[in-house]
Formats: sequence, C-alpha cells, structure tokens
Amino acid sequence: MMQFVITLPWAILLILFPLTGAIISFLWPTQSNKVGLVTVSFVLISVTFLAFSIIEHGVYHHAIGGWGSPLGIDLYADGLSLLMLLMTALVGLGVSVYATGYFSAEQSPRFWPLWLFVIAALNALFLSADIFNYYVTLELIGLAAVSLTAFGKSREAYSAAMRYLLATLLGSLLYLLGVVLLYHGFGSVDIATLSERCESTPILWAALTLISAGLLLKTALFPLHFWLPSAHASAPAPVSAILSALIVKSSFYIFLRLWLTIFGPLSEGAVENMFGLLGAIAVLWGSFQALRQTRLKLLIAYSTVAQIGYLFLAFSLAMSGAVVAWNAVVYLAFTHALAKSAMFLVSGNILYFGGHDRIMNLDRIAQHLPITTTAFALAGVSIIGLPPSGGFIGKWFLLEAALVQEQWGFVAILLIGSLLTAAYIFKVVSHAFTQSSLPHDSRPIPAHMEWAALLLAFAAILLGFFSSSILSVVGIGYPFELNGVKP
Amino acid sequence: MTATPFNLLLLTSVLWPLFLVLMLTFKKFHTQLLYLIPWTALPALVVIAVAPNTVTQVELPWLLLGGTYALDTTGKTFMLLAALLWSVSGVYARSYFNQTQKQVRFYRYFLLAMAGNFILILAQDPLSFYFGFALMSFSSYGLVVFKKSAIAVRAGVVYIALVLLGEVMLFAALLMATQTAESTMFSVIRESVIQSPNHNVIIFLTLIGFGIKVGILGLHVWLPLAYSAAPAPASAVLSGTMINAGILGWLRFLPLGETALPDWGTGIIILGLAAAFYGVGIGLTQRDPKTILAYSSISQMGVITILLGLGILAPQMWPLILPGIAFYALHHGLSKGALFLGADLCGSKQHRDRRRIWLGLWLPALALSGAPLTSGVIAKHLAKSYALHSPAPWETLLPLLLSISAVATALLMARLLYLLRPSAKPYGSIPTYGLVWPWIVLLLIIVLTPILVGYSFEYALNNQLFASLWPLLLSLIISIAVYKVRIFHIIKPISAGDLLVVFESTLKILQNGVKQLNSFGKNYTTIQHQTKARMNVIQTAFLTKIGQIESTLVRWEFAMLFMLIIIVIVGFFALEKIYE
Amino acid sequence: MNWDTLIPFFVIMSSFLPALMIFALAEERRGLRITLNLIGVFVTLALVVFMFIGVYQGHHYETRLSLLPDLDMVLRAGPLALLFAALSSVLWLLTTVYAIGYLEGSPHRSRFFGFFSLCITATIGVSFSGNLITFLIFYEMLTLVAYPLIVHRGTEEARLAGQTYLLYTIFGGTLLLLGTVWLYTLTGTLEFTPRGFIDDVGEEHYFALVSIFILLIAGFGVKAALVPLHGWLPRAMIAPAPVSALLHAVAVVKAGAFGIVRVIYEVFGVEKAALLGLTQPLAVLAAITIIYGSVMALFQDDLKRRLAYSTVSQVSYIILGVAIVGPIATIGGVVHLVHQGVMKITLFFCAGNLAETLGIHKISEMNGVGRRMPLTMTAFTIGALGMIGIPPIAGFVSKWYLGLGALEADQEWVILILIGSSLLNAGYFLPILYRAWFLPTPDKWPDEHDLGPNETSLMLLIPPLITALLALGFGLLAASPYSPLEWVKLISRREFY
Repeated sequence: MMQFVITLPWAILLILFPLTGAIISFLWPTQSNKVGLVTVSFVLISVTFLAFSIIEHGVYHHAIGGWGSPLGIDLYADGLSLLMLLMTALVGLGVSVYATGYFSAEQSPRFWPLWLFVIAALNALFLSADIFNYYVTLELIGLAAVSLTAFGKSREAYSAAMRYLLATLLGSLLYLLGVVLLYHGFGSVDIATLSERCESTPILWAALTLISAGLLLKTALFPLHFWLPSAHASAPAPVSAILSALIVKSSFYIFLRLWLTIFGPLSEGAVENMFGLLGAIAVLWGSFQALRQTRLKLLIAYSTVAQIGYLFLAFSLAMSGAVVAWNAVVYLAFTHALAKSAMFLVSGNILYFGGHDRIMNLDRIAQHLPITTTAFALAGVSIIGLPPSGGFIGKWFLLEAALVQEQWGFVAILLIGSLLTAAYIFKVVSHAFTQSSLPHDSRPIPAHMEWAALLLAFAAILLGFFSSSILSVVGIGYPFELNGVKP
Repeated sequence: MTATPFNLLLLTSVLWPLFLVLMLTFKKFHTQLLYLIPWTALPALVVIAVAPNTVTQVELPWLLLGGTYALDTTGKTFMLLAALLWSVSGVYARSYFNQTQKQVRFYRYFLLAMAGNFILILAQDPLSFYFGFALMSFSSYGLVVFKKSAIAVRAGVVYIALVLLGEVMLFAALLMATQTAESTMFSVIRESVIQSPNHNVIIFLTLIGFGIKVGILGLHVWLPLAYSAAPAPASAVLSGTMINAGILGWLRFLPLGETALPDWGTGIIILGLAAAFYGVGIGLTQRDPKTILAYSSISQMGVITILLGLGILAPQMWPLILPGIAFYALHHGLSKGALFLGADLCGSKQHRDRRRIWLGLWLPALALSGAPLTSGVIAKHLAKSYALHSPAPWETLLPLLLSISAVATALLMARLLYLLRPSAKPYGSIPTYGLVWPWIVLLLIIVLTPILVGYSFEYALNNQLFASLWPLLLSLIISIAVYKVRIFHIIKPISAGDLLVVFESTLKILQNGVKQLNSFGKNYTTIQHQTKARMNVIQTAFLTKIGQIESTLVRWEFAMLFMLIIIVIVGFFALEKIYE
Repeated sequence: MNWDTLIPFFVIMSSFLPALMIFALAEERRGLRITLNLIGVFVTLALVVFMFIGVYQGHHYETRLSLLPDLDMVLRAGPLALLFAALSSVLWLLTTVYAIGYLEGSPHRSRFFGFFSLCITATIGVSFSGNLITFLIFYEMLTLVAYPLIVHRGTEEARLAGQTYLLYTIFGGTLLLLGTVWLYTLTGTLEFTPRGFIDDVGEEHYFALVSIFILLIAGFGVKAALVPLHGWLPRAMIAPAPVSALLHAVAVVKAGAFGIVRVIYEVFGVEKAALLGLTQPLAVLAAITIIYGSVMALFQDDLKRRLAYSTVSQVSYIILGVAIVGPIATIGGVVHLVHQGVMKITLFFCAGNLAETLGIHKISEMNGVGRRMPLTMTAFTIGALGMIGIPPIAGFVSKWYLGLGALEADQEWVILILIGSSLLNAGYFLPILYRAWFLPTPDKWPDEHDLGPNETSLMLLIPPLITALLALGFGLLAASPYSPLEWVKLISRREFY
C-alpha cells in the first residue's frame, strides 16, 4: 500500500492541487477559505510523499507526456528542489491559516485564487529543470505577486505595487533575453543539456550578464533593492510574508541553479566575488536601514534586504570552494523563509490588534499579545542567528566557510551584521516588557492568527536541531557539485 | 579525636560560651541566662584544675582545614589567667550594668571574645589559632565602642584598623609558613620557618601582626584609647587577655629556641627597652587613671619583649625563658586587671569607702612595681636572672636597665595612686557589693600567686631582698619629692595615643586622596554622560544621513543606473574571460 | 535501554517543562504555579544528587544528540559539571522560595517564574555541556532568558539597563561564536577533554590559538564582569532582588566564570595555555579586576550597587585561581565558585529584605537596622565577613588556597592582591556593619511594611539564614568529607592533575 502511495506522481499533483484549488475557490467564493486550507494541506501532504519517494529512489525525474528534453517539459526534483518545495508548503500552510482570519469576507475570495495560483507557480518553478519554464513560472509568480501587493488599497500600496510591477517585469524581461541568447547559442533550454554544451563564448557571457542582472533585480540584491521595502511594507501582512519568504527565494533559486550548472563552471570565481561584495554591502546597508525605521513592517522589510545579502555572501563563498557554504545557503534560505514570514504575520497581528505598527508605542500592544510577542522574539532569535535555531546553524556554516578560506573581511561583516541584527530586533522586543499606562482601542484577534505566527517561528527554531538529517536530504542528487546536476 | 573525658571537658569549656551566645538570641531565656553567664569561664578553670600532666591532643580533622587542640604547659598558664580574668570581670559586669538590655548586649560580645580567647589558647595549629584570634579581635570591637561616646567611636576606628592590619599580615605570614612547612602544626612550622627563603619576611610579619595586640612601640596607639574608652570590666579583661593573646602568638609562631638570629634579637630587645621607658614617660604625664594603666601595660610589655629578644638571641636559654615569660604575663595580667577594676571603684562620695578601695589598690600597684613578697618581685627576679646570663653586651647592660625600668614602673604606680587618692574627685562607679567582692577575690588571688609558685619569705631574704627593694624606695623618694615640689600641675598631658596624631595626619592625606578620587569619579561619570550624549547625537545624525542616501537610492533613475553599472562590470569580466 | 544516557537530558527537562507550563498559567493560579516550580526544583535536585552518587560509583552519564553533521550536542555529568549543577539547583530552590515571598501580589508573575526556571535550565545546561558548542548554545540561551528578568520592573530605567546588558552580552556572544568556529576549523572537534584538545594543532597556528583564546576569554569575560567588560553588571541592579541574587550568585556571572574555567582546563589545557603564555596576562587582568571592583565599591552609596561591584571583584578570584597554574590554586579558584555563590546570594537576599520590609536602598539609611531586623543582619554580617575572608567563613578557605597556590607557583604578588582586596572589602563592608549594629535606630524607616509577626515574612527570612549557615558551614566544615572543598579536591585530582 505504502509503496503504491509513494509511487503516485506527487510532483505533478503538487502543481495540479493548487491550480484546481485556485479555480474552485474562484468559482465558489463563499467557501474560498475552506478550499484554500484543504488545498494547502494537500500540498503539504504531497510534498511529504514526494520526499519519501526521493529519499527512497533518489532524484525524481519525469517527462510529461513522455517527450523528454529537449522537446517536452521535464519535471525534475533533487534534494535542493525538494527543500524549496517543503519550504513553500510549510510557509504556505502557515500563511493560509493566518489568512483565513486576516482577510475580510469580501477580500478573501479575491485573495485565495491568486495565492493558490502563486503556490502552483512556485511548485512548478522548483520542479522544472529548463530555463524557459523558469521564465514562465517566474513571470506568473511576479504578476500574481504584484496583484496581491495591490491588496493594500491605500495610495502608497498602489504606488508600491506599480513600482514592484515595473521592477519585476524588467527583471523577467532581462532574464528572457538571456534565455533567448542561450537558446540561440546552444540550441537548448534544458539545463542539463546546456551544462554540457556551454562553453565560454561571447553569447554565453552576454546571456550571463542579462540573466544575472534580471535575477538580481528580482531578488532585490543591494543596490537593486529599491522596490522591495515599499512593496513588502505596504502589502497586507500575509502577502508581505509570501513576498519576502517565498517569492524572493524563487528568483534566487533560479540564480543558484544556473550558476551551479551553467555559469559557475565557466567563470572561475571572477564575478561571484562581486556578488559576494554586493551581498556584504547589502548586509550592512539593510541592517542599518532596519535600525533606522520607526515602523515595524519597514524594519522587517529592510531586514529582508540584509538577509538576502547573507545569501549572496554564502553563495560567493561556496562558489570559491568552501563546500560548507552551500549548507549555509540552504539553511539561511529555509530559516529566513520561516522566521521572516512569522515576523510579518506578527506585524499583521499588531496592526490588526492595535491599528498601528509604530515601534515607539508597541508596549501598549505587546503586553496584551504574549503569544505574538513570543513569536517575534523566537523569529528574531533565528534571524540574529543565536543558538539554538536554524539561523544559528546557517551562521555557523557561513562563519566556518569564511574562516576556512580566511576571508577576514567576510568574517567581520558577519559579526557586525549579526550585532546590527540583534540591535534592531531587540529595539522592538525591548518594548514588550515596558509597562505603559496609556489605554488604547483594540480589536480582539483570533487565536489561530497568533498561533500561526508562533508555530512558524517555532519551526525556525526547531530547524536548528535537525540540520544533519535535513542536509543529508538536500544532498540527494548532489545539487551542489558544480556541473553535477545530471538526471 | 582521642575522646578521653578530659578532652570532652576541654571542648565543652570552649563551646560553652558560644552555646550561651546562641541562647541569647531567644529573648524569653534572658533572665535565666543572665544568672548563668557571669560564670561562663568556670568550666575552663575546672579544666585547668583537673588537667593531667601528659598533654593529650584533640584531633578535629573535619574542622576548618583540620584542627588540633591541646592544653600544653604554656597554654595552661595562659588559660589560667584567661579563665580567672573572664570569670572575675564577667561577675563584675553583671552588676556594672543596671538594665538587662545593656547586659545582654555586653555579654554577647563578651562571650564571643571569650570563646575566641579560649580557642586560640588551646589551638595547636595556626589556622585554628588564627580563627580564635580573629573571633576575639572582631568581637572585642563591640566591647571597645560599647559606650558609643565619640571617644569610644574614635577608639573603635583606630582599634579595628589596626586589627585588620594585623589580620592580613598574619594571613600572609601563615601562608608562607605553612607553604614551606607543608604542615599545619606549630611544632613543625617553628622548626621549618628558618628554611624558608623569605623567613625574614615571615618573622617580620609575625612580629608586627601580633605586636599590634601586644602594643609594641609604634603600634601601641590603640591601647590607651581602647582601654580608657571601654567599660571597666571590658578593659580589665582585655588588658590581660588581649595582650597575652599577642604574646602567645609570638611563642607559638616564632622560631624560638631553634636557631640564633642575632640581628632580630638585638632589634627586638632595643624595641622592648624603648617601649619600657617610653610607656612610663608618656604615662606619667597622663591624668586619666585608665590611660595611665594602659601606658603601664605598654612599658610592661616592653619588658616581655626584651625577654623574647633574649630568647631569639640565645636559643639555648629559651627553655628557661619560656616559663618566665609565661609567668610574667600571668602576673601582669592579674595585677593589671585588679588595677582596672579598682580604678573603676573610686566612684563613691564617702571618704571611708574611698580609703578602703585606695588601700586595696596598693596591693596590685606594689605587685606591678615588684615589691617583695608579691608576684612582681618573682617576675622581675626571673627577668633579671635571664639578663645576667645573656650574651654580651646585654649581660651587663640589661640588669641595670631592668632595675631602672622597675623604678619607672613604681613611679607610674605612685602617680596612679596619687590621682586616685581618697581626697581626689570621684572616678568610675560607686562600689556596690556586687562590684567589690569579685575584685576582692582577684586581690586574694594576687596575694596567693607567689605562694602557689612556692615562694616564701626566706627565699626573699636570701635572694638579696634589698636588690628588689631599692628601686621601690628610690621611686618612693622621688615621688614624695615631686609631690612636695608640685610640678605635676605644670605638666601637660600628651594626648592619649601619642603617636596616633602622626598616623592620623598621614591618614588625613590619604583621606584627601580618596576625596579627590571620589570627585574624579564624579567627573568621570559626568564625562561619561557627555560622551554618551555626543554618541547619541552622532548616531541620530548618521541614521538620518543614511536615510537620505537610501531615499535617493530607491529612486528609479539611480536604480537603473546601478543596473547598468552591474551589467557593465559583469560584461567587463566576461570580456576578460573571452580574450584570455 | 540505558538510563545513564538519558539522565542529563532529564535534568534539563525537569526545569524546562515546568517553565513552559508556568508560562501557560493564568496570573492568579498562584498555588499551581508554586507547586510546578517546586516540583521542578526537587526533581532537578534529586537527579543531581543521584548523579553525584553515581559518579562516586564511577558511573558515566552522557546524552548525545546530533546537532551538526559532525558535531553533537553533548550533555555529560563530570565532577566539575556536578559541582556547578548542584550549586545552581540548591540556590535555585532557595531563590524560588525567596522570590515567591518577594513578588507577592506584583504583576506578571507567571512570566517572571517562567523565565526564572528557564534561567536555571540554561544554567544547568551550561554546567552539563560536554563540548564547546553545547556550552555556547546554553550560554546564549541564558543571555536571552535572563533579559526579561532584568527588565521585569518595566520602567524606562529598567529598559535601558536591559539594553546595556544585551549590548554587552550579545557582543560577547558574537566573539564567543567566532572563537568557537575558528577553533573548530583548526581542531575539527570541540569535545571538552581534561588537559585540552589543542595538542595536535601545529606551531604555525600559534597566532590563531592566541587570538582564539582571547576571543573566548573576552566572550566569557563579559558575563564574568572582567574589567573592562563589567559595565552592564552594576546597571542591572534595577532588577528585583531575587533576580540580582540569581544573576550574581548562580546564573549569569557564574556561567561566565565557569566558561573560563572550562576553556582553560578542558579546551586549552592549563599547561598548554601556560606554554602559550596566556595564563599570566589573564591572572594580571583578574587581579586588576579584583582591585578595581573593590575600589569602585567603596564609592557606592546604593547598597545593591556596592554589592554588584563587590561581585565584580569577587568573581575574578575564580579566574585568578584558574590563571595561577597549579593544583592548589585551582582548588582555591574553583571552590570559590561555590563559596562566592552562597555568600553573595546571602548578601543580596538581605538587601532585598531591607528594601521590601523597610524600603531601605541606600547604605546611609541603614543606621541601627540591626536592632530592627537582627536575623537578617546577622546573615548579612556572616556574608560580609566571609567576603572579607575572616575565618571560619567560606571566603577564608578560598583565599587560603588561592594564597597557597600562588606561593606554590612562585607568584608572591598574588598575596599582595589578596591582602589588598581583603582590606578594601573590609573598607566597604565594615562601615555597613557598624551602621547596622552600633548606630541608633531612626524613629522612622523610609517605607516600612508590616510583613507578619517576625522581623519580615518568613519566606524572605529563611532563605538568607540558610545560605548564611551554608557559608558558615562550608568554611567551618571545609575539611570534612562531602564539603565543596573536598569535592573540588576530587575534581582537581580527577580532571586536571
């Protein structure tokens, strides 16, 4: 029985479930909440089974319609993609549970179809193995995300959404150009094939330039983060959570894949260092900006900017040979997704409860929402990278990599970065304990909204205890051996 | 431990006062306890009475860092004196204070000090000794400042300061000694101290550390203050026991009878001589009887110091000298105690009482100045006999000097008796029955001491009676002459604790230093605040600055510009790659 | 299955689970909260005692959980660990009782006791840590869970104090992390091993080793309040008395000192550290701290601030004892871990009693308080005299062994430091005692509360009395079996030499 269940085509279901869910919730708006919840839980279940099958039979590879590359669409899932899928499912579930309470009756029918659609697109992205599918899914995600951002209904929400729209369009446009060049130059869009055929020609390098520029823009690496804070801050809390937890990661994932398979082997460390440098600057800049903020959501948004910096830092370290840095990349991405979504949900709670998110006057709110406060604190612990938490494991690997390579500059950046992070996190937390006599009008808040945040944060902490098993799963299919991704 | 019944008795005699102190914490027992407490020291007396001649040690390996207790021959003498004094003044104190409240408070410190005293006498290892010593010193502070008068407080400060100084010095000395001896037994330490590379430091520290208690010259300043400030029973007991604690310390720690240390010996002898005369010199100018007694103690201790010096100078004589010192201490303690109590009894208006007390006072006074048939003459005789056998040049010098010091002492006593004469204005408390009879007992003991040590009139006769008499007569003549000339009124009393003035002036300087430090601290904090304020300003400025920068960064044109820059840079790397 | 591999884990849980339950409790569920607390305490105590006996019989208690691919989370019950664990659990019991009495009717008690238990969880974890990363994890956890206790009062002042605390400790933690990872990259293991595990690190890494040592010591030194990293400690005095007691005697400061002990003995190995020429500077630094703390204490009028500075100086005794290379000095230092704990906690309890009962916070207000609260002040006196180092109180034993050890290691200068600090201690403690015992009582106290027939409520009175008795007993019965001293001797035999 079990065997049979495992052998079901979970990968395909991962895309089909959310799609159908989206359609149903669109056709049947009154029940959208229930439909949504059912769908996301199905997604989680399918991911688990996919995980089982991958752990048992190794890399999952499936050619839809049996055409196979170069013609047809391939579904491909190794440890890395599995982890990304898992991340999507977990965060998705948390956000969905939260959203059922957050959105009003007339908002939720518009939210669910889009959101489920995003999930479908994300899963498709993480499952696909050719650069054109990447483009398609990326575009879909981008557009859906923009329209989600516009939910804020306020003026700055619109302008932010507009800015986001243009940025993401530009990004995918650049990416598309790159794809076209590659296809023209090497006659394939399948990663595996490309990684065999590619050699150092002007076309490749032009493609590399365009693609990385586009993806950096979508991933909002400093100094291309200009669209992120406003968008993430003005969107409704669940949307912000999705944006900085998943959607940013999706473009980073593509970037990672392409460098691992196509570009990495050819450019021996030249460009990566620049990315690392940008990452370093991003860490400092984002942290300082976060420290500057007076509103909670902006603070969290800027912290995302900084965290992306860490990802690129790790990336460049890894490309220059420190293998542990890959673990850092994985862990930072995963825990950041969980912790950051938790944080945004917390900010949502605070707004929902107290009607504002001015850090100065948080004390009036935090006193009354112990669970939410705890959630923020735990998420903060993970973001700072204090033990025991997933973030700590990530920092550990990163530091280890930097020390092994004796990259003292990066070491310094890491330490300063975590100090700054601690500074802005505790700037918020410290208000949780100060008594405030001032009364405030408050709106009672559904318990499951608080618990969703708490559980996500707790998951981020919990990750700290299962690193060895998780990393062994990620290792399936050797995603991190340069040029090693071979079905 | 060897649990012979005697040892058990020994322990109980030590623990008894401590137990009573504990009981004092319960208010409801106070009345009953106050009948019991005056007699606390009796068990100790019993112990001495029944003590066997063979010394048996009590091993308490679990106590502190392992303790050994025993009542050896030296200890016996000191224990005897201690027990007597504590009992007498214990009883005396009972009727000295009228309210229960005061009595309780007094006895609390009194008992603690007593326990400490007993412990240090019985201790056979330095740590236990140190423990008892500390217990005695610190709880005696309560006795010194008991009256709470300004004088008492000042005396207390001086006292405690010197106590602390002594404590730390002894601590260091102990550490070094035990470290070299690798054992915590006096017997071992005495032998091995000399091997220590820095044995001179050890000897010095020990000498000073205990010397503070003994009141050797220079560190004697606390004695006059403390003894005149403390209530009579306290000063009576402290003048005897506290000083003897110091002496015992010397006897236990110093490498006496081991190896000759000429330099040390000579130094100590000179120090002692100086003290012997200096004490009298200052004492004669004083007007307060208790202060005079304190100064006489200083000079008497000078004599004991001389004997100690002889011991260090000539180790082979030590076995002889040791009992001599012990006896001297006993004799001095008893007479001094009697004098302190007696001086306190001159408070009545009736001339009759005054005369009786005054006559009573003669006895200890004579004993102290070494009149025939008293314990004093034996002590002096012993001292002189050692002096005669001491190495040159002392064997000629010392006997003379000792006799002169005897004259001096007698003069001081004459001065005391003059001040307390019946016609003088009342001093101390009115002699009630409860106060007088313990004093009488003490006097009797003083009378009996020479007989107890087998001294008789014949002995006095054939041991040149005159030799012991002429200092007395001489001093008598001098004092009468002085009395006729009436120059005493001219003499201005030097402020009690003479040298203290010097110390205090130095302390003043120190205090100013501290004050300046304090003010510096204040400035420091203000500076801190200023810097903090500055930091805050800078911080806010910085944050606003990067805020502005950010607001420009997120403008489209800039973003696109960066975009291009990145593309260009990557492209540049690309070109390199292609054309390499 | 083998229980020996689980018991250390249980010890952690025995305080962790109650903490979580307490958080969940409503504010007014006083009885249940207390029971939970006490259950936690007693289970912990029982397990620790059990392991004590076990270790005597040569059992080996160790829990291993996989943390990183080739780094485990190790909880091991060595003699040193047990010493610290026993200290913290016993004092935890007393502090809990005290805190229950102290916080009677104040808000946020569930939060307080929750974090209180978490503090102990972290401390027990620190004591049982079998390798550096485990240590680091619990150490950082301690940093975090102590924060809510420090700011518990919720005033703006408290918030600022908390900020200072975090500023220092997070900084220290970062240094610690760096040092640890760096060490790991050199050795490939972080397992605490007697005489250290850096022997196979080549000479070419000399610089790296030295910097690692500095990083680790600095990281721990922040909590151990080594000058100049002590700034947070006096500020943290805004915390309620039980917290200060916990901070100073059991948890935070001690964890720092304990960390330094671990680093020198079981990471570097004391001989190796001495060879690298690292112990001597540390000893000097400790000496400076001792003197500096005492001097600063002289100038404080706020009782708790004075006590705080005295902690600064006293804790460095431990470090000094460790930094003087030699078994006897080791005994002195490590045993001071316990002695300082009992003495200092007594002092803080008493300070709390004065504040709660009479509203006394300043030393200048303490005139004649001995007559009003004799028992409290007796306990205080014992603690203070112990700090000065007067026999037969525990402090003397530590000083004695420190001195002997120093002489044995030919470092006579240490004696001067000991003497100096003794005099300074006397300088700032004796005036307090004088005021309390010998000055007349004022006709009115700053803010007097009636707390029952006794001088104060029994829950406040009994803990300091017990700790005072402990301080006295540890000194008076130092040479008896099962005394801390004997146990420490066992440690220095078994683990170091």
